[in-house]
Amino acid sequence: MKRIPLQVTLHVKEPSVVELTVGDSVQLDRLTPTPQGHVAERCGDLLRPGVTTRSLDQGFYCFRTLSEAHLKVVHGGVGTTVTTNDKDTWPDPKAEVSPPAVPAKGDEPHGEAPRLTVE
Amino acid sequence: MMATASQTLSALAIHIGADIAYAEPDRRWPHAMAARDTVQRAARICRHAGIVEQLTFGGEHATVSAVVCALVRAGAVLTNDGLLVLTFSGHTRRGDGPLDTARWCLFDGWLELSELARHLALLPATARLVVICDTCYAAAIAKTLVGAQRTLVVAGCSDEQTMVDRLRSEFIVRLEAFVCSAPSPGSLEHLRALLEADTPDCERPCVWTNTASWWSAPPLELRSNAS
Repeated sequence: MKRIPLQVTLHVKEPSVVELTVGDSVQLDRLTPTPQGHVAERCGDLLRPGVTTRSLDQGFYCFRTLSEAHLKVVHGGVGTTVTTNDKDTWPDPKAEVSPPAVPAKGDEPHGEAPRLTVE
Repeated sequence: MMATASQTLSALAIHIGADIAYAEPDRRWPHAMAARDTVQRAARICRHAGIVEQLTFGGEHATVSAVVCALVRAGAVLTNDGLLVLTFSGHTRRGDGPLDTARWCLFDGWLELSELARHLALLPATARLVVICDTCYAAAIAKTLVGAQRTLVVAGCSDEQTMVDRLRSEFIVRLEAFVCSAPSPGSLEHLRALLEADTPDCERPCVWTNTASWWSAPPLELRSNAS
């Protein structure tokens, strides 16, 4: 089974501090609304393997990782959504708060993604 | 301006900024935000390298027939030691088939990598080819080429990775800064190190060539020192 990245969107509802544990080098992006849709912009240095603590302002963020990941909300309010890069599936209109789609430049064939655990 | 069939060119660039994929099943995909920026940067890179003849296809002009026609014409007009730079920025549909069935999504359809490779193989065998790929599975083209040309692929990610679409693609920004830096850029080996540095594991640029001597030569020059 092909290994595909885990794609996580963070909905930071208030200024928060999180601890992210990852096993590879990961880029955290902030999703900024624009007339063309949400735009991913790099947010700080890469997360290196291990534990990284980040203070996050309110908004949407996303990251992709090839390894198991763990999120600990130290304080604040953070919601998480795990998605696959499947542009052939329409967003669920019944979803309470739809996280912005992370734009990609291609499809993602079926595969096995690592898991996210949240504390 | 495009050369006529009776003309010959020592260098030619074709830039495809397929920001809109209008044909089914790809039309649901969002506009590729970075496409226009990427082809503009690629054009500046080529201009800096001295390539005068450049064709750019974007938006509704990035059609299958326009791209194929340009590739066929390139095969007809490029001199034996000529240089073709081919840039693609847009969506790639990977699908679940073999790698060479992945396809570049254009405005009105798509171009399978196998077909693209077939067209590129018709360039003069001693020509040089530089492919700049700003798309998902970008390096896949390196594994599907079938021609004898000396080839360099500069890709935004590996053949198994997807790219997040941003306003600008970081690797092409770095490529432009590297190639256009004064007084002269470093070697391809240096470029590879620059492009790979400070990138996430799931989206790492890839530099590939089938010509060993290219690694110690500048990535893009009209007259090749790599043989």
